[in-house]
Amino acid sequence: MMVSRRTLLQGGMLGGAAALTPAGVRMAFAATGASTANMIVFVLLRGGMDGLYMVAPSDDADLIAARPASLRLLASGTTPALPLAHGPSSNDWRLHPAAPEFKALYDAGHLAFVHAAGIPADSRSHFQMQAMLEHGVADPTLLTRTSGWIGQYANATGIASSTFAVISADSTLPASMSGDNEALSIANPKQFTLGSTPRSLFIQTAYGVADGAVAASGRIAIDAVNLFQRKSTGFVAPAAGTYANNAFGQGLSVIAETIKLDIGLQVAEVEYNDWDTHVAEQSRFANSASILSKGLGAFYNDIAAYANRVTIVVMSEFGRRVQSNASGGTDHGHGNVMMVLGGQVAGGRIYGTWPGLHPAVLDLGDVPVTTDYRSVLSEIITAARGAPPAAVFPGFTAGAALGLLTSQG
Amino acid sequence: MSLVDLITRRFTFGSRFNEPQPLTTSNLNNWLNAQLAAPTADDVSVLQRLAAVQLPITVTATDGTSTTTNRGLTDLFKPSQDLWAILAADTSANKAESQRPANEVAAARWIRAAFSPWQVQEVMTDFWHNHFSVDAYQSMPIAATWPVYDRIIRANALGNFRAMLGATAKSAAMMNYLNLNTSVASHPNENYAREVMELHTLGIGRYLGETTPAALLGTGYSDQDVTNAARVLTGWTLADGNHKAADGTKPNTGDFLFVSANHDTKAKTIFGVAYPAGGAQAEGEAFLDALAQHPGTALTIATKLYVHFVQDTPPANDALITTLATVFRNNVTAPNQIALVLQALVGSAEFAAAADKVKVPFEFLISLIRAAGAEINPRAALTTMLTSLGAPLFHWPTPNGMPDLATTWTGTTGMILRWALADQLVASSGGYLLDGDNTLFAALAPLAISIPYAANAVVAAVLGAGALPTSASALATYAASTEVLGAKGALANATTLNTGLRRLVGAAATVPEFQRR
Repeated sequence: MMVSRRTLLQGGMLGGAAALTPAGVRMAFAATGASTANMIVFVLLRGGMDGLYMVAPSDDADLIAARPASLRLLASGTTPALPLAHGPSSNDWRLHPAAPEFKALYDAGHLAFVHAAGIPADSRSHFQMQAMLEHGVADPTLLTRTSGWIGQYANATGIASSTFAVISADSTLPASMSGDNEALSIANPKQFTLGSTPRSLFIQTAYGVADGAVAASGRIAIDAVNLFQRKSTGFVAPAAGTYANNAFGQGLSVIAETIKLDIGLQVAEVEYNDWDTHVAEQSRFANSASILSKGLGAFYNDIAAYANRVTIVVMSEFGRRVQSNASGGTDHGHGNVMMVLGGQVAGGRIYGTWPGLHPAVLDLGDVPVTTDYRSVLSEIITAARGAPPAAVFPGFTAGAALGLLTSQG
Repeated sequence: MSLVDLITRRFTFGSRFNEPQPLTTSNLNNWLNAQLAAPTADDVSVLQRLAAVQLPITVTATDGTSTTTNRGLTDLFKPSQDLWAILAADTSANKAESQRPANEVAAARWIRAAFSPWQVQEVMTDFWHNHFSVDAYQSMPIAATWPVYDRIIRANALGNFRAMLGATAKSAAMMNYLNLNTSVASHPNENYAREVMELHTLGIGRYLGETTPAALLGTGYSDQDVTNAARVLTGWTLADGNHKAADGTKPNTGDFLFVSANHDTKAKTIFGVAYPAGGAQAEGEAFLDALAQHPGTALTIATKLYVHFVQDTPPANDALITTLATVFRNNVTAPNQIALVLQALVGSAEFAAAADKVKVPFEFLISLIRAAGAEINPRAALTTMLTSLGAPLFHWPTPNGMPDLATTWTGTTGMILRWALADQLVASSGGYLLDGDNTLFAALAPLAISIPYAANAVVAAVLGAGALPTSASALATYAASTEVLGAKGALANATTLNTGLRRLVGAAATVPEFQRR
C-alpha cells in the first residue's frame, strides 16, 4: 500500500502532546499567496553578544563608571563610535565603529534596534537561554514539551506545498526548526545533491516504489533536490567578492540565492557564533561586529529587489554584564539589543523601554529585559502572515505592538 | 520477518560480517540468556582494539600555539579521582585535556558497539544514556568525568533501575548538568528534582500542576512536590575541595559528598508522604526509593522500552506495556531487574509481530560498519558525522534525550545526509573502515569476476533476507556503471576494484530497508 507521508504523520498525532501542533504536520493557517508572501531571516548570534558594546548611550555616567574606555563606545578619539539619531533616551546613542554598514542602513531607515530586549527568565546559562530562545519560551520547564518556534510556525502557516519554506544555512538544523520534518539545511548548495548521475539514478529507483514511511520520506527528499536543481540550474553563486570568505558570508549567500529563486521561502536561519567575550573583548568584538555588519550589509544589497518582502531579525541568547570583569571582558548578562532590518521596517530608531543603567534598576548587575524577544518576533510574524498561533510561543501573550513595521501603520 | 532477524535488528546493532557466533534459530534461547547476563567488563576482543586506538589531541597553549599529538585512550579507564584531577591540572587555553575523557568515551563507543559480543548490553547502554541524557560537553567537570558516567550506565544497563538512578544522581556529570551540586538549604535548585520526576521516573504525563488535587494524591507530582524534593536533596553535592566532609576534611575527589550543613533539616512532604525533620542523606535515598517503586515509573520505563523495541506509537492500555510494568515492579530490588523486563518483552507475541522502527543515526552508521566487517578508526570525524545527522554523540542539548521516533530522523536533510554519509563512511579515502582479510570487501573481491555476482553478494551481506527486489535490481544496474566498474572495468587493478566494491556496499546502505531497525 502506498501511504503518503503526510497522511501517515497525521495518523501519528495520537501519541503526541495534545495541546501542541504535532511535529512535522504543516497545517493551513491564514495562508497568503506563496509568491508574494513575506520572508523572515533569523540571524542567531550564539555566545551572548555584548549589546552595550554594539549600541549604547556613550555618555551614560553609570556605564562610564562600570567599564574602561576600551569596552565602551566613545564619542571622540581616533575611532569614535557612530552616532545614532532617535535613541530611546536623551543620551548620546552610538553604534560600534566597526559597523558602518549598520549605520548606513539605520540612517536610510531600513534598520531598527530594540534595546533591553531578551528572554524574561532568570537563567545566565548559554545552553538554557539558547534552548528557550529556540523553543520560543521563557520557562525552562517548557523546553521538553515543545518543538522549535520556527518548526511550530512552519507547521501552522499553510506552507505544506512548498519544499523550500524553511531553510537553515548551517550544516544542521537548529533546535528552532525542530518539529518541522521538511525544513532543509543547505550550508553548501553543492552538497544538496544525490551524488553522481549513476548514484542518483540508483537512489531514485530504490525509493521509487517502495512502501512505508521511510521510502515516502526519501521521495520527499528526492523531490526537494530535483526541484532545487531544476529551479536553480545549479545554485547561482553570488559574484565574487559579494560576501566575505567566511561561513557567515557563505550562509547569507545561500539564503540570498534562495530568496531570489522565489521558490516559496518563508523562514531562513543562519548563525554567527563568536560572541562569548569573557576575555580580550576589545579586539574580538570589533572583529565580530565587522563580520556581522559587512555580512548583513552585503546581504541587504544582494536582495535589494526583494527587500520589501524580507525582514531580518538578529538576536543573541543574552547580553553581557554592565560591569566589565578583570580579564578585559564581560561575563554573562541579561537584556540585550535586537536588530530588525528590512524594506518594511520603520527603521532609524531605537525601540523599547530603556531602563537606564543605574545600579538600582539593574537585574543582578545586568540590563533588565523590558521587551520580551517574542514581542519582536511575533510582530514580524504578524506582519508576514497574521498573528502566530499559541503553539509558536507557548506561555506568551502579545502586548501592545512596538510598531516596528510600517505595514502595521 | 523471522524472530532471529527481528532480534538481530532490534537487540544488536545489526548483522556483523563474519560474526564469530551468529545468532540462529537453534541457539536463540542460549544466546538470549547469555546476552541478558552479560559481564560488565569489556570483552578481550574489545579491550585489544581499545588498546590500539590512537586518537589525536590538539592542545592550545595560553600563548595561542597549538600542538597536535597522537595519544592512546589513556583516560578511559582512569578512576574518578584521577579524572577529576585533570580539571585542575589543565592549563591549556582550549581545555583540551578536560574534554579529552569525553572524546575517549566517544571513540570507545564506536569500538564497543561495533565489536562487543555483548550486543544487548551495548544496545541498552545506548538506551539508558539517552534516558539519563546528559550533555557531556556542557561544562568541563562533566566532560572530564564522562568515563565515570559511562561506567555507571554500562554497569547497570541490564541491572537494577534504582541502582542506576542513585548512581546517576550522585555522579559529577548529572550533578553538574542539573545543578544538584549547588542546591543548598538557603537556595534550593529545583532543576534535578523536577527532571528526575519528569524525565527519569514518573514522566510528564504524571505532572499534576501547582498542587496535587486530593483525589489524585500519590498518582503523580506537583510543583509543590518538586520544591519539597529539591529541599530533601539539599546537601547532596560533590567533593570539590570547598565542602567539609563529616570528618572535617575538605576532600577534592569529584565524588559524591553529603554536606549536612547545606541540608534543609525541616520536615517535608512529598506525594503526601512525610519526611520527618532531621532525615539527613537518608531522606534523599528514601525519595529515590519512592520514585523507583512508583507504578508510574514502571509504566514510563515499560512504555519507553516498547517504543524502542516494538513500535513508535503504543496503543492505549497496551497489554505488553502492562506486563512489562508488572515485571518491573515485581523485581524492584532484583539485581537483574532490567534483564527480566527485556526477557518478558522479547518473548512476547507483540514483539514477534513488531511494526517498523527506523534506525537513529548512530544505529545507521554502526550497522553499516558491522555489515562491512571492517576494523575502524574511530577518529573525531566519525563522531562528527553524527552531529551533521542531528544526533551528536553524548552532546544532546536538552535533558530529555533524543527522540526515538521515525519522524525525527527521516526529514529531508536526514535522508540526503544518510545517502551521502554512507558513501563517505565506506570510501577508502575516508580512512574510517580499514581493509583486511575478514572484511566484506575482501570476501567480495573474488566474486567481482562478474559484477552482477558481486552486486548480489552485497545485497545478501548488507540487506539480508529483508532486501527488496527493487533494491537488488537497482544495485545491479548501479554496479554496471563506470563509477563502480571504472573506465577500464573494475578488474583493471586491485585499487579500482576495492573502490568499486566499497561504493557498492555504501550504496546498499542507502536503500529504504536498511534504514529500518
